[in-house]
Amino acid sequence: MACVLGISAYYHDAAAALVVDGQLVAAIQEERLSRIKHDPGLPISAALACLAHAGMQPGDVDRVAFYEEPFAKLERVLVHLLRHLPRTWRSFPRALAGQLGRKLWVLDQLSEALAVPRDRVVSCEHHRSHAASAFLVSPFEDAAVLVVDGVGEAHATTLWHGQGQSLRPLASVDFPHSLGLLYAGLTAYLGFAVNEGEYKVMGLAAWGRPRFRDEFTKIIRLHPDGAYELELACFAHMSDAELGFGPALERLLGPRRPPGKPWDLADPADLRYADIAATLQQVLEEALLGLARRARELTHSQYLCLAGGVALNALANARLLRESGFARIFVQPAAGDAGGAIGAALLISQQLGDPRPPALTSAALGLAIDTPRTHAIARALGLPVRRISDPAETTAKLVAQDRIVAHARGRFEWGPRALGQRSIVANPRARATRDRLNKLIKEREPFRPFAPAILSERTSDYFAGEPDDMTPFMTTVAPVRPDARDRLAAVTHEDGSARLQTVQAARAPELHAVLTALATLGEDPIVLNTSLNGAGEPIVASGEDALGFWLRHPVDALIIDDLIIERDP
Amino acid sequence: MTSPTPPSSPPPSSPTPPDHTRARFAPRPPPPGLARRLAARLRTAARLIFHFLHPARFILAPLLIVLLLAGILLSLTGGLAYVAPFVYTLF
Repeated sequence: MACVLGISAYYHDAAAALVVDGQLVAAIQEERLSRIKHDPGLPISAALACLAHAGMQPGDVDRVAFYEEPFAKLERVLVHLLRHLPRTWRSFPRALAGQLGRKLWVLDQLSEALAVPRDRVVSCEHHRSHAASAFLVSPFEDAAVLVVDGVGEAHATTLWHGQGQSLRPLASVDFPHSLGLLYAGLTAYLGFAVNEGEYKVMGLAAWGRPRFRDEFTKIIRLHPDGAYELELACFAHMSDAELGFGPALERLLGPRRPPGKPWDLADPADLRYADIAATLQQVLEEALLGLARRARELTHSQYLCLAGGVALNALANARLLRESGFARIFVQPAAGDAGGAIGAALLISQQLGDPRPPALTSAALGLAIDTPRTHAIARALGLPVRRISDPAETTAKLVAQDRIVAHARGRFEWGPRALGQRSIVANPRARATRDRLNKLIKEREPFRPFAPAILSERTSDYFAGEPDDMTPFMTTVAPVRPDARDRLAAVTHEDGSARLQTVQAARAPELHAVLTALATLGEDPIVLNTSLNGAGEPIVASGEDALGFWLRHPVDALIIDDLIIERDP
Repeated sequence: MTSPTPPSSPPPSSPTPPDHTRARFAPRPPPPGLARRLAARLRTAARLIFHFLHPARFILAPLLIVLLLAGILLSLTGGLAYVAPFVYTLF
């Protein structure tokens, strides 16, 4: 029986996860506490918060498990820099300064910052951490595991076979060939920030036609065994980590889109970029299908677990479920680098003899709101706060009146998706609601969709599909039924799909109560559900964060546990 | 595809807003002294050199040793401010 703290840090989305006696007790991204979006720093606040949630101190920790191996990573960086000289001479000092100045000493830094003896701080392989983060919390005893991200120590894609508590590596594609870096390079080409704009590219894809297939066959070659190869001249991740793509890509696809320029999809130039995004999405899906089919051949398993940043591509996940031959697919809600913290903690926990945890059913692994403290702050600020007896019914009534409600109840979510604990909820009917949210509150591009959350048992009334292992965590999409599109205009994307969340009482009780109350009022049991944050902000964590959001953004009402603040209509 | 290598909260009626710092978390432990940090770094450096003395990697060892010395110096001083005069003298 052991207490293991898992840590991911020093790339993006640093996080900590606590596993006690084999059970996942808490998992928190540092950005929620530091209030720095995608905070990559050492997640000491998150680690201490996980421990505090469990009533423990750093001295109680048996092991601190870091999610990648610093020496192996340094080796890859050194070999790569030397092999690609003189192209890499510009990035040589910066890359090595990053490794030798900070990343190499991360285990020492964790030991010092947490006051845990150095011999209790260990590391795990990056892709093994990812694979464990998906398989060990999945509902499957036997599954193929596909990890696809930018790069770990040396691997960019790995296939594993998970059985019981073991994970056996089967095959890999190594850096510099990487689907994650392909997507990142094209994200930069389309004028978005890497590690931030990938969702935007996915949303943009629905507006375009995949008419650049010929050009993309020169950018990436897909092999019959599932492997793939990038045309490295099109990319710059070997020589310039900031830019992501090379001049050869612009020669093939035309000039890059200037970053920050407002989007206008009536403009043929922007529509052309949407076509490029659509082609990228199609090529990515085909590459993933090849890998998934290979994984099925190697494992003969019925089930697939996906991990790595690319596993957050909901469109691709839906296609994999339709076409890969796997009966079920599971994606852990924080599939990106943050998820490595869970994987590392579980791997070490099992090494210490603890059992495998039960399947993950809820993403509410963060901290609860300190309601009395929030109430006191709201009163001190002079806000018209009052207590209510039934927050779910009150929220449902407000949504039914077409009001936009900030909803912060229970423990906050693990991963990039708001799943009802820290959400903005609204009526899914009117497109005007979507436009108001996009322009005034989220301040984001007009082409980006919003997601619906629906009572699980009513899914097939509105969507062409049933709840599956991904829908509770919003990591897949489903077509909206044609007869429901008018009623779901604010959450139906351009291609007729929606990134739905199916809600069950056991998984998200607060949101389930809201949807049930809506049904009782005679409304559709669906809300538009988007994350409770403004542009460039991490999702709200504490009651103070929620009050700060209220003061900065024109939502109609704020519900914090049993507190409410309203603006006059 | 390549083969793998083997809460303490104020009362609700409190008229004064509580401190916004996250007091409910355990306080951060004090940082260890310079000697302990140096010893830990030297142990890590020794492990790293041992790692790179593997026959498949030993060609990188000389480069690494030079870089490590610079890395330890940067890590201990916390930046370039103290190192810059020496770098200037050397080059």
